[in-house]
Amino acid sequence: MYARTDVNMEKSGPITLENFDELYRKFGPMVLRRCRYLLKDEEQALDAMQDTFVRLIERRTRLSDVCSSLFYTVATTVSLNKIRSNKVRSSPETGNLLRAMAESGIVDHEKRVDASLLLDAIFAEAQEDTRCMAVLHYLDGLTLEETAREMRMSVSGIRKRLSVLRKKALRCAGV
Amino acid sequence: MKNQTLFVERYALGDGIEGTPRPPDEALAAISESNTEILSRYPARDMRQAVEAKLAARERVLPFNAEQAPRRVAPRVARLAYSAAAACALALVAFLAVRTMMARDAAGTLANGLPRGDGAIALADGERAKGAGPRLFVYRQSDSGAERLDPETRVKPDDVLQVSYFAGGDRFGAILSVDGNGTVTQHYPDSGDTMAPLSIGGEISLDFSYKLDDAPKFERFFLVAGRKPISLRGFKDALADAAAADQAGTFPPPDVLPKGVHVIDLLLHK
Repeated sequence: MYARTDVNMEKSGPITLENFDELYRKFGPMVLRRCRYLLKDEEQALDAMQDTFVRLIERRTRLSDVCSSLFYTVATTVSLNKIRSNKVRSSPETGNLLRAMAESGIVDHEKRVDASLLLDAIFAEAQEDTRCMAVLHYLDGLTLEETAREMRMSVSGIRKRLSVLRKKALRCAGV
Repeated sequence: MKNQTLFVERYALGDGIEGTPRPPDEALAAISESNTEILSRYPARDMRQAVEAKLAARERVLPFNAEQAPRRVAPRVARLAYSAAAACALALVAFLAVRTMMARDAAGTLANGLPRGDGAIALADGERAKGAGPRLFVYRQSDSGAERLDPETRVKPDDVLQVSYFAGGDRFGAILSVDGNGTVTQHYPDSGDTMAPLSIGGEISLDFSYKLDDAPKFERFFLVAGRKPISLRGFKDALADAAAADQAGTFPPPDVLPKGVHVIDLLLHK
């Protein structure tokens, strides 16, 4: 069972190029595994991992500290942006995520069509944080409360965003 | 069924694990083995160099208020060159700002006919703002330094842009952009749907620059500013819908904000 307690959260201070090596050794492998899981392509995953660090370094002045949760959600967002970019540029490329859903057992065969529609809605969604929270909830199976903690948002805010997303998916499917 | 990955990752890092059951030993061993493989295949030194290269490519447009710029690992000569370019850009910005404000006619439009952005200020209820008001600036990296972009300038993928604002008496704000795919990006604040405090004391650049992707047709930037923090959720949704419905990007700013909130925008064609 997944749980998180902020009380005991280990924090590592703001990320800069000066402490890059230390933070990379600590969080880099987790970030790359997350990117590999979502992108299923080593080259793109490596690029996404580097982009995750770039994004955190660029925004370090507003980050009082970093932790695994932050790296995990930023890696998710960066990877989803890449998938969306690929999807816009070429053909729909959400098969990897569908396979991931199937392999994880989060959705059974009958629900895969629904999952496919939902993924289309996720990648049609314009806001990257909505895409991230949708993947955390629907793909990773986090509860609304857990998703809210990861996204640093309220549960009601998460619920509302995901509800709108599901309605969009149903509307696209003509339901 | 829940994907246990995040929990196992966090447990392996000793991060927020109090009160949670220990994952199976095999899962933790797999993490440890994977860590060894990844750090051996992609050593920290190589990754640092790769990240430095990406940062350098994205940060060549130095914010003109150099004291706010992120620290860079750059040669002294390069830093001096950047500082000189930043000083020139600041002088240019000051000159253009004064000239533009002086050129504003009685109706609040600009003498040079700029449609929106570049200082053209609209209130959410359609009134014109009095005084200088908040302003939005976008600069592009060029061979000669930072080039300030006029509304409807043509830009292209891989152009590096720097966004800045002038609070103009407003205390809270947010900076957003929407592209030809209808993708809304929030540049300030980092997260959340509510306007954040604006810095005062002149033109303030964001801490980072942006490299344009290959989204088609347009990039349009918005500064939403006001005296009180308000939620922008509805505005962002309306922005995405409007952009998706208007391939040229010339749609009017969504009229969903409370009275008195300033909306300043700048459209760039691609």
